[in-house]
Amino acid sequence: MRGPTLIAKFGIRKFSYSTALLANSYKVAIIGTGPGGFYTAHHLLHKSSPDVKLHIDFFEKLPTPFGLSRYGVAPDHPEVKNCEEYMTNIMRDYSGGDKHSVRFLGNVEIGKDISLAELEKYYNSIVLAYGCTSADNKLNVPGADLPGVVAARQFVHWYNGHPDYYESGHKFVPPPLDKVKQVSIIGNGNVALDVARILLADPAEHWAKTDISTEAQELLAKSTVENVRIVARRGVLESAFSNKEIRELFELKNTSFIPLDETLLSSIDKSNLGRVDKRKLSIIEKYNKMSETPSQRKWSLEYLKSPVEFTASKTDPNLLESTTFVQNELVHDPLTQVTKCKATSTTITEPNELVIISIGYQGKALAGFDDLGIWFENNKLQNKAGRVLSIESRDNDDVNSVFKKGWYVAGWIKNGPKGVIATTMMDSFDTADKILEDISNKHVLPIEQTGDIIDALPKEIVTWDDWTKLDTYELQKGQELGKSRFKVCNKNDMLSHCK
Amino acid sequence: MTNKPIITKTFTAKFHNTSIRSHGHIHKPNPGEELHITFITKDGEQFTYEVAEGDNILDIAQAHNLDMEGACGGSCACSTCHVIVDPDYYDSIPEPDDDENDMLDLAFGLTETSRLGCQVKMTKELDGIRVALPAMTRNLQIKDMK
Repeated sequence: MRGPTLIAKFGIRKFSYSTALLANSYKVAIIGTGPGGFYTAHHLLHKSSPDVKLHIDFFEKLPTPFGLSRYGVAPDHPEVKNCEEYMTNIMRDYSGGDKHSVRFLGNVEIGKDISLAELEKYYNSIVLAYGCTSADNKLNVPGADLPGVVAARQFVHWYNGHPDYYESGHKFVPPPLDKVKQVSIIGNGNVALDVARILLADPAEHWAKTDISTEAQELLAKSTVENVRIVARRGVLESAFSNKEIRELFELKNTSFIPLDETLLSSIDKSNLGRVDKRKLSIIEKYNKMSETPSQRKWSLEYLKSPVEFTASKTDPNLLESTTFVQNELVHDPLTQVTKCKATSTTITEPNELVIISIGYQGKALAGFDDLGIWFENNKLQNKAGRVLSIESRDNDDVNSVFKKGWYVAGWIKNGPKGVIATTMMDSFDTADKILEDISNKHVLPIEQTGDIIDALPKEIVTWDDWTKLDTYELQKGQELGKSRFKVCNKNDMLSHCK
Repeated sequence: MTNKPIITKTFTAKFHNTSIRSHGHIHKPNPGEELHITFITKDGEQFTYEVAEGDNILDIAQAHNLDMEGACGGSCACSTCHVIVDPDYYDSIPEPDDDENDMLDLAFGLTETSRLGCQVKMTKELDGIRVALPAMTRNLQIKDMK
């Protein structure tokens, strides 16, 4: 985007260039190639001082780049995946660059294929951007471990073709949608709404042409789901979905919305609402008034209910019979503006054969954080504006924080698993600013190993060219099938297409 | 959330003569038909440009190398060209449609006069408009610390 300007700057400085290069050359490792990782790189490459030369190595655990853009974003949101162009452009513009240079090292798991302590010897700066979706928040209620209770993360990874769910011999077994009529989704964030759309939208018309995994596409074609209930513990205003996603669900063809109880809306004090909440309410009010057009698939938004027990089906152990909810009431604290919910003594039991739990993700520490004194706690890497904090900071006052020199964090593992890509982008630029500040001040790690890290990596590395082969195959095969992309889901298959 | 600190910062506005990037999508105004737009950056600096009717704010900002990302390429699928519009001019812009509102609702630091730069085209009514680029993630981490 800013090519011409860079080149212009470049030309003027050319004669002082060679000496400047030697003095100001820095090696940066970025762990993870989702939006957090590549937006950090984008900003580093575009904003670095003209006499700084960067070499960036991207490490990716999978053979494929793009992280949650490929494996989290719903298949029917291709416009959101446009951000992948940023990574692709970086690889195109800087791969053989005579100023900055970049490399993609896929199929390398940091902490396993190479230790963090070893990695540190090769780089001046290391950015941890490995995401925050290793596990699920759990509901601690009876029956939560039943096979009819599925974590949304697993369901999403399955329909998006994540290789961890298509391992030879350990394949994820999707819920038997061909035997299910009623589904309850617990939680109403955007992931919950994505899952609802997967279950409600017409498989042939809506999903077949997307990059949804073909296995998911086939099962959805046999789905018998008739009713999807999206259940939240708090009220309408506390809904976690964004206005874009709820409007999309309201406008989904061939499905009907079962109207909300009017009192849930009329009881809301509208006087002090901000712009987003005001619009959220007006959207819900608008569609709540529309008369229900009869259709095969129905859905509802349900509020002030928490599941307290899941009961297995007596006839099929893979299914549920019902879910028992407790009715909640809202308690608003006018000082902190926090609204919490409190359980009442009323319970309701609703029939459902499947429950999908969508109440948030958990991240994890990488092997080696303890040895290096990297502070991981409360589901994120503890940091200040992207600079990683040392475990020594734990007992200090905020003003006496101790940083882990040369270590940074970006993406969901920086602030926890929330926020859209635009938020991650701005937040990653913030991290990149800090890296550049530290580079300007020569506050970087010393290079202890001058060799090429590739020689220290034990296994088959997927380069950007290798990934391009897989990418081309996926797009071609997709075209044959009338899909935007045919995702190769099994890792061994991916690796063979990379050759 | 409020945009006041940025707007009220007074800097002398300076006319800028930096050359427009060759591949920018903006047009050269016809003599005598120049419209004016002032950008206020995160740091409170002001830049005023003479622009042509019909060009949108994202293209103008990018053509002048201001920090505005437009990550989706101006198709209203992200909120990275979010600008805060001078309240005096806000009502002169045609109202945002649902798609723009959807994206604005996701924008960082949304205000009552926020718009997406890619959706606002310069018109005679908007001559002299001032828009502020939102300060992004400052102070985001401190409150999230423990």
